[in-house]
Amino acid sequence: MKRYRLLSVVGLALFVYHSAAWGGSLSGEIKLGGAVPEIKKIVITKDVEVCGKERNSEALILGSGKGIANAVVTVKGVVGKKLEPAAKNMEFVTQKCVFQPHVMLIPVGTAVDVLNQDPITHNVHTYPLENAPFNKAQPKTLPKLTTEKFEVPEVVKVQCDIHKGLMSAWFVVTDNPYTVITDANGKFSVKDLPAGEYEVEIWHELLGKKTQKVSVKGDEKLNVELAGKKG
Amino acid sequence: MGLEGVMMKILLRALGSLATVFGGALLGQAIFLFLVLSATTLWADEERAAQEAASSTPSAGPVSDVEAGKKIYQKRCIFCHGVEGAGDGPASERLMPKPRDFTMGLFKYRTTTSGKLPTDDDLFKVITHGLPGTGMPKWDDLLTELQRRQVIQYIKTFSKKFERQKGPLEMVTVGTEIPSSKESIEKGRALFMELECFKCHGNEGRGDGPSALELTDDKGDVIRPRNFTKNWFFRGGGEAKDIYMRINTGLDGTPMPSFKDSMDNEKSWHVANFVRSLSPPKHPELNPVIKARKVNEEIPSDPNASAWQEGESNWFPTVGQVIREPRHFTPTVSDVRVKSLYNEKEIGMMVIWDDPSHSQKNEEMATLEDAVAIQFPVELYPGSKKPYFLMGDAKSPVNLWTWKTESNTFTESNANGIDKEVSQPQGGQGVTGSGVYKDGQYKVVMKRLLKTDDPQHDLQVSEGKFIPVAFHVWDGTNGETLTKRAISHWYYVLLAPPIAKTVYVYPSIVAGVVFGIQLLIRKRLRKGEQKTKP
Repeated sequence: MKRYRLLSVVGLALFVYHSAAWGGSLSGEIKLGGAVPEIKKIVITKDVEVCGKERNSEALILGSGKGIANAVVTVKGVVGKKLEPAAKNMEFVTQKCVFQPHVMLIPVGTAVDVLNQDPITHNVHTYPLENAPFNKAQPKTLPKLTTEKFEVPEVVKVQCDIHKGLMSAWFVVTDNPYTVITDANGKFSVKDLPAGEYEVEIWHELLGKKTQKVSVKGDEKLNVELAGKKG
Repeated sequence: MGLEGVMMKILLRALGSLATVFGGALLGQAIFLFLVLSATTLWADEERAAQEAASSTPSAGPVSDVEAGKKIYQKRCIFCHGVEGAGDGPASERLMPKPRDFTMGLFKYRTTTSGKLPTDDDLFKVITHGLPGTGMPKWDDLLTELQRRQVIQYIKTFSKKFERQKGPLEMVTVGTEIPSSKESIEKGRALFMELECFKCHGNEGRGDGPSALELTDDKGDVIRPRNFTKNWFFRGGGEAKDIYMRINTGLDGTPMPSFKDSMDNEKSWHVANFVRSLSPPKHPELNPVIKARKVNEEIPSDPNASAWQEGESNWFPTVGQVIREPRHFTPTVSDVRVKSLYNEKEIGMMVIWDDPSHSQKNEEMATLEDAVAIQFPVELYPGSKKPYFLMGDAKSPVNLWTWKTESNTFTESNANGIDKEVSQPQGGQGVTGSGVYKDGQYKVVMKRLLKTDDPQHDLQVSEGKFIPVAFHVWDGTNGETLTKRAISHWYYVLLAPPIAKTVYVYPSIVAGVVFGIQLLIRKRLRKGEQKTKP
């Protein structure tokens, strides 16, 4: 009860804060619909002393209650506000043959520092349609690489070809300040939303895209199920 | 000699044997010729047309005439690169690598830094000289310089990136050359290992590294790391300066990254010198006759035995089998090297070829194995007559010796055509040998008795005869099995006996006799002189 009271106080405060726009927030959970698929194990055959021998695929990570991690939630159609470039370069770390984070938001106009902490060579290869392509080798003698600034909103796949099938990640380049990534349990929260009718787009690397209409008047809840792929 | 030179030689050889081939075989050979021809675009009439074009009507208008460029593109480029420049023209499905998709705005062979567009001169170089080992021919004989520059302007309209590009492109500059030397090559080798180039290109540079077989390009098409031991296939040029450029620019749209941030001028030259040193100084010459060397010892089955290391090997190009369905346009194996030994009893053949995958047969995984076959006629015909080169014909059978990776066994068979192969019965099997695979290369020795008791099915081998021989190679990982294979044309193996002593004796006797006669004549003449003198 105490917690709810606290929440309502915070909520009231937020309400007051946004009274001018009669706005609110949108939060909720992105879940997997249907049966939980078997999580693929990747058997590693190269550089096992660095990469390990086996690993779960990062393509679909489920938290408690089938919540989907690393889904991108975007509230579209909010007029006016644009995301500013980040104050400094984003950091993207390679450690034990894992790119971290697996899905990273990059504000338009921002570059990325790639930090290789492994004692082996990786290559950082992006697959953009609009932004400048990037494919550079990063031997252990080159701990930091810097990309060019990402200038056009799009989702860009990142891959190490030397460890293909093991090392991939996604750069979500955006100028929309209402873009968030779900946490390990599939939860998300978009704050500071002006009141209005919007379209919410949910994107996941394996499960694809889904859109849903929302009407924001105050602090709204949105739970969405993404259908698992057949087979 | 470039690839085309080799192709021309193959063509000439094929033409030479046309006269001896008849019926359906003739048609097959004609199709083969047609395809080889079209692959290299050596069209005589096209060349004539180009000469006319070049001499009479050089395209009017400036380099920037995009409309003129479009006309050239639609006439010359569209079949591979497609109407919209997406690399999807009708010929594209039979090409490996696929034609460039200009809409992506990604180009491999540049002098600009990683991720940057190419300069006009970069594109001009590719169009002018072509890309060796691919379907992209050189156009310097068919298009004038102006036409080549105009078509570049049209190609640049397929991707918006060119329009958006403002200001000068960042270039890779080549610093003071460090000439190749033993020391530089050694430093390059150390860097090759340190930078982990071997992960894709393999320990010996044969494109067989642990990551090699998984690679795809940005379109998702399979792509293989370059085999550094055949620099005539390096698309952007096979010399150290070209390799220097590729290391620094990377190949955009492929897994090959730029190493510019990890290198300086000196290191770049060392690696370039090392990579260049992996190929022979010159393109191998095609010598159609394998001279089998006579040995007094037993012919070793082990390809690494010292007897097999001596002497030069013959180099023969191979092409995809495109005559009989299912055809194969994109074989892995581009050439084989062959040596031969014989003694009083046996003949041995060693075939060496590069294959980045040691393919294993697995029914569950539906994978196929690698294999090689050596083909002889069953009997030697007078003159230049031979069985049809693709496993014989109805009247002239061939004798095949086959080795397969999986079973590591040898089989002897006969064929009267590619789909009419019959294995010899258990008692007739006479081929033995051994095959090894190391660092992306196969070495297989096969040997058999010179004379057998089954001349109906087995070639009887004797000294001093030009024995036709041809080769078939399969890469299981590339889906090659049955008719899907790499094939060679007929070449020859000659058992050349050591030069007999009589070769020296008879000329000496003749010389002696002649000298004697001359002495006699001289004596007679002198006598005559004395007589006539008063």
